[in-house]
Amino acid sequence: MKPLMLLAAAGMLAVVLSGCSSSRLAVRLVSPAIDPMMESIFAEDDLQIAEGAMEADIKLLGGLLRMSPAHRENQLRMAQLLAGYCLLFAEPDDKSRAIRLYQRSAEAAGMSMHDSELAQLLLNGTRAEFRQAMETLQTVDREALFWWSFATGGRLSLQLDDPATIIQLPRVEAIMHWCVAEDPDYFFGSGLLFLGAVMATRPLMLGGDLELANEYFDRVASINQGQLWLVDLYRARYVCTASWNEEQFVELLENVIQQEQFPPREDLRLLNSFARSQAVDLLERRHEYF
Amino acid sequence: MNTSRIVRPQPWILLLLLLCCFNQVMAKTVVIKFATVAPRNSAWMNSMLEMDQELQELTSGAVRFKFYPGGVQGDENDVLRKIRIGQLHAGGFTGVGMGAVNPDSRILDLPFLFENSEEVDLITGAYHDQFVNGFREGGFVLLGWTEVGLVRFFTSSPIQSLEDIQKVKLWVWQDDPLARTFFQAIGVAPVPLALPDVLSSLETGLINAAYASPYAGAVLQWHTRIDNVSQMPVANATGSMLISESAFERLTDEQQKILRELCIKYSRQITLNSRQENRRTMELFAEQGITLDPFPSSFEMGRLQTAAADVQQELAGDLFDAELLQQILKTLKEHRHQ
Repeated sequence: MKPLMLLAAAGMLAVVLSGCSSSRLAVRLVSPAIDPMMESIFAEDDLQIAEGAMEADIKLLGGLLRMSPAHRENQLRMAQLLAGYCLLFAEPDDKSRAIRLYQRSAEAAGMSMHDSELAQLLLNGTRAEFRQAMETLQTVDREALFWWSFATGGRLSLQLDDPATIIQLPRVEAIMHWCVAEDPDYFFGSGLLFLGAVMATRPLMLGGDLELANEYFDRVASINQGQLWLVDLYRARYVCTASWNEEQFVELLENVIQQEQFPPREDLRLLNSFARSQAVDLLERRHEYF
Repeated sequence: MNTSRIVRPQPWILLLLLLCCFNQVMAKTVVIKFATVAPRNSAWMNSMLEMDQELQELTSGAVRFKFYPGGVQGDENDVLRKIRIGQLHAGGFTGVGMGAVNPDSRILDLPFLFENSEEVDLITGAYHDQFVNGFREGGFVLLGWTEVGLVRFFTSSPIQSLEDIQKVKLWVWQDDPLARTFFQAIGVAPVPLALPDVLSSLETGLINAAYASPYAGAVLQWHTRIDNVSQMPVANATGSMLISESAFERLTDEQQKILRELCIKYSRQITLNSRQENRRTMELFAEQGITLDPFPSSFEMGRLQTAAADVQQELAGDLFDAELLQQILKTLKEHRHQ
């Protein structure tokens, strides 16, 4: 059994033996170990190990949140873990599952905000309520808002045939812009990656802008010292398909696939491993785009 | 007697047979290159992909589509040009593109011509052959109607009268002479802009009003910059799937039949989806706090319809066939009195 699981089991046993107040103790005991555990997952280059670890950790966090549902940090960790798991392992294979998991991630992110009604107002409030909510966004909620936008945007992008999606997407985009303005580097510049994908997938006639999408991707590349292969994957998948540039599409993907070694940065290893596996898949499906 | 010369095929015969087979396989696959502004993953494109799947099944893979979604081949005029030089074969068009091929089809986009979708179905059904012939004369085959929907005003102030329309700074699509002429005729000085510039112009105040079907307005994000959407339909935005006659003639009779039947089936599906999406979008606008302007009073509606009728007559003969317009108006009048 992993040491962390032993720790969790000990914590949970303490709850059973000592009653409710001990549950807070258990949560306090186990929670600090979660961040290094997540760092370890992102340093993993074996996708199967990472997938299994993320699944186990989602359940572990779920257990901790049962004991202490108002634990904002754990709600935030849950949002991050679910969104990451969904992007890496659910979305490529099962759209319906990905929609459900993104929804769960967004709910967890909403619970970690200081105003528990905020997420609801941002997505479903009237325009006046949305504008007011935007004016009161706080830096303290930045991470929660980021994961909420990331998960909600991910879900909506899988439901583009629904008019509600069309109405809600500009709101999510506006919030992601706010998050990026607050901290463009957060989580390897993923906010910029998100905005680049939005700009590239929107048809030019409807305000899409491939030049701007490329600028966003360039910034992500720069934030990660050119070591994040996900940038090349996104550029191929979104910009090259929209601009009908098959030659660059192939070149970018082959470049990712043919790299013999991962870049030095350990914290990017899982994302780079994912980028490589997706590059192989995308290259095989190139006839769908060109 | 040497029998081996009789039974053993010569290598050059094998090669010839192989080439014949190869040519047959190659000749059997017809790819229809189809361009549209509809984005990937939209309901429109999902229906088209479904249709392509069925087309391939019914023709045993002999005919298939290759789609260019999201406007990657340019606007409708670009697509028409590319079809005419053979770079593309077919496309999804709205009134502007259709009018460039068959000017009479612009009648369907005339302001205040239709009161509801039922009337649109009535006219596109009753005058189907005339429109088909018109497209044929322009070198295209009409594969199906794909309606964009009833168009509403997106404004910053309520629209309840002709004067209200005259007061707004209204966008008009720069490629659309019909809309420009109509609005000028009713005393509006429209601002011609390209479609992608409308959103930013609503933001800067260069314009404060535009028109589109509810769903299209939402896709274009206009709802984020205005306060009112009219319940009164200004016009119907027609759409269609067209294929060049030359590309269509490359198909066998059987393949043409299959393609026609599939396009009728799926274009109807697209139209019904579009109507549902437009209804749902209006509900969502209301939920967002956007004011849905009620219909103007019957007096004001009468004034608008009279102004529109004057313009219809003015444009008849120049932009489209006057006689066809009269026939359509007569059919609508009879229908409304039933």
